[in-house]
Amino acid sequence: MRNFIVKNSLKKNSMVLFLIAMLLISAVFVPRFMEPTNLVNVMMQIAINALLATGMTFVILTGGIDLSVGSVAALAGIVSAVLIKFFPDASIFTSLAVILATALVVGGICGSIIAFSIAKLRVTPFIATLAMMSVARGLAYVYTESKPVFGLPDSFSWMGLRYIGPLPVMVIVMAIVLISAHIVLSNTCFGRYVYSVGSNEEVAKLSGINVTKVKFYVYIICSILAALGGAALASRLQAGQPNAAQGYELNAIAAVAMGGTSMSGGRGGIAQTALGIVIIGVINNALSLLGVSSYWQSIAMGIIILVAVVFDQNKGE
Amino acid sequence: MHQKPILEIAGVSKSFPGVKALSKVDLDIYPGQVHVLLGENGAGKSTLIKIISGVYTRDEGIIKLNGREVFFNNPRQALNAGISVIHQELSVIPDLTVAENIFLGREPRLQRTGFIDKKRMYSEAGRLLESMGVKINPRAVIRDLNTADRQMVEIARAVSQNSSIVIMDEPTSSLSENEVEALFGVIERLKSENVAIIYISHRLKEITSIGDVVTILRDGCVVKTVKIKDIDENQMIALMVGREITKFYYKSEVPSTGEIVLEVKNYTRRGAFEDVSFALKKGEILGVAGLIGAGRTEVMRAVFGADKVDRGECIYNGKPVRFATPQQAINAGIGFIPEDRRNQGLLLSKSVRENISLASLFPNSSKGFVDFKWEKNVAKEYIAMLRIKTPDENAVTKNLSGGNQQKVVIAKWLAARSKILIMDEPTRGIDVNAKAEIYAIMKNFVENGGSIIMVSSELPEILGVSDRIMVMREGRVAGIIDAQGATEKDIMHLASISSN
Repeated sequence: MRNFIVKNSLKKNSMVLFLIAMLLISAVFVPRFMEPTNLVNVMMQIAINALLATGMTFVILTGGIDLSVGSVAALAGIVSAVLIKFFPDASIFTSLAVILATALVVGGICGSIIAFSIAKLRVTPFIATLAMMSVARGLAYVYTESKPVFGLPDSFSWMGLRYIGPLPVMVIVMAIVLISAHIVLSNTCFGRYVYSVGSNEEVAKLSGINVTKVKFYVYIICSILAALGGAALASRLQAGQPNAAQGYELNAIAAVAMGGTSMSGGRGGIAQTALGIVIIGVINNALSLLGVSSYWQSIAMGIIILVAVVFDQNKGE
Repeated sequence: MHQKPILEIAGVSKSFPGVKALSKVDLDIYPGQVHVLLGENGAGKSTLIKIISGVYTRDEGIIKLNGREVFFNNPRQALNAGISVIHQELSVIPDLTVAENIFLGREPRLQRTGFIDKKRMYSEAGRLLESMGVKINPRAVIRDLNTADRQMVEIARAVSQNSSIVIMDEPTSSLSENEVEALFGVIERLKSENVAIIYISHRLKEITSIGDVVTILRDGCVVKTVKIKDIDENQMIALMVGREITKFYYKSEVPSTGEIVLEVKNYTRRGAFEDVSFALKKGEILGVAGLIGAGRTEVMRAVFGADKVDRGECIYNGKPVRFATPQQAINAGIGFIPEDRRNQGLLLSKSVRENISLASLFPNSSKGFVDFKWEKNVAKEYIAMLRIKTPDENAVTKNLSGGNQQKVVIAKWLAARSKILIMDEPTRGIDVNAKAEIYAIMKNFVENGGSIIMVSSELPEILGVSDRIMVMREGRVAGIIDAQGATEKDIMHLASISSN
């Protein structure tokens, strides 16, 4: 057990060290970075990516990939905005119910289609989700005739913009999702099966694990969390926009990779993903405060991800 | 010896963190001889050949090739110096053709353009395979070949490199008797061409028939180097394990009650097996013999629900069932130990604990939540019971030796309270000591009311362990015989003589 903990924490530590280094550098060189309002702001900015990356972690742990999360998020954003317009006087409770229902229905449908293609029709995850990425985005544009859905009731923005005490609602949502996902992955049989399928599908099958079912669940979980992220984004933007969440799938994958979860499956977890999300959030925030243009931010982010992952791999050996 | 050695190894040592893998090894290899390396897993054979072939570098000592000291930093340098290796784990590329694999990295080129001279490549590969006496189409894609044919391609590649030293690491572990004969023909030819062969195998019978000299290693040291004709099998085993093994095979002393627990009737899957029928009794070990490709593994996977069946019935404890998934078979009390433990039996990157609990995790959980206390206890229980050598239950399975890995697979099914075990080549690539332990586990299992179906390509094992023997040939049951009084000849006769 001790050996296991030492090894594990070493592996985690290399990224923890990286995060600490980033925080120190930002604290020294970036004005206003350490102010509480900014730190809360960082948390707020990473919340939606955190939802997507959490779902992505499940999928990647089985050795798959989901390229459709950005598009599914956009579609869910549109659907939630359209739905809430039926309730002009919606209470906070109604708004939340609409957001959750949208996440379950849109995510459930998209996820089931993806899962069916992968687990039953044996399409590779890359292609199946690429197809969904295209279809969901197209649907979002077709339904809105590529115009944003405006004029949403005030209560709708509660989840995306409001605070409970000092904490934004979104940050609380993120925490709940991360913690639940962590418990599912590390404490339940299903979680163990996810790792087993990712380590070796044939061994999992011959040990009595229903591989098809496990795959079904991970893609559905991933799509539901993507849809929840999309509805939350609409809540924050106070509008359903068909071009929202463009490229979010790559941010999610980057966060998972950054945390050290193996792209071929079987190794990693939510703790690692959370670390990846925070590192990316801190870098983005620091660069923004320094007034670096978003184009240069993109270049810097790419380089930092590469360096961090190489650093982590060498340390792991 | 009148000849000068081609390879001289003197005082070679190698350490890995925490282990001394080789210590002061001396070895002379002569051209035109088959030099056998014998030892249990972990004795240092693999380390030694990896040093000779440039995978590892030595810590100390001298290696001389043709009288000149050499240092290889990578396998390519060793290959260029005339040392080629046939690896235990197949290293052919599945999506390339046979000829492309044989000539990989040294394809014949067209003079003018530098493109690959495909015509020459295929004709040369064809000639080579023919001279080895194997029927393999050089244009066939490796993916479509069975394990034995892949192994022959691997051997063809090593032979075609015109090396002066060929190292063979368990070349016969996936070959059936016929192909072993073909391989021995190749070895004889290489010997006549004055090639030196370093041969590693656990199969003692094979060693005595093909080897000239044997070096026995134990715990990283050379115990003895001796001419094969001056030593017998029992002496070899004694030197290897450091003591005499009095009893090697174990047969149950409790006679079977004769009660039938599993009956398979007319199982058929087109192209794989046809009309396979057999019954398994409570408390017996049913051996399943046959050549590679006879359909043994396919039938067993189908019984276990891992593959489909077109037609046929299965009766389990008197009730008709046909397992559509492994899950159903496992719930009914059947466990399956596949032939390829590294790729089908174990999650190599996971801990011993996680592997042992894998098949029984859910029934022992509370509402789907893993019972970590149960898991730890069950892992510790079986580590102790099966004497699995591991630092603790959290060690990564990859780092265990073959025999201990196999015990982990068995532990998985014991933990799942299996009543029937289907074991496919349960002792492949395992050293003598671990083999004996696995036989003891099997004996214990059937004496306590379990039943075992054991597929094996090793005839002494089939005869030594089974109560009854089912022989398969070309996807059909060629016969089921009583092990009492049966001989290797009887089995080979059934397995290889075609009825038409």
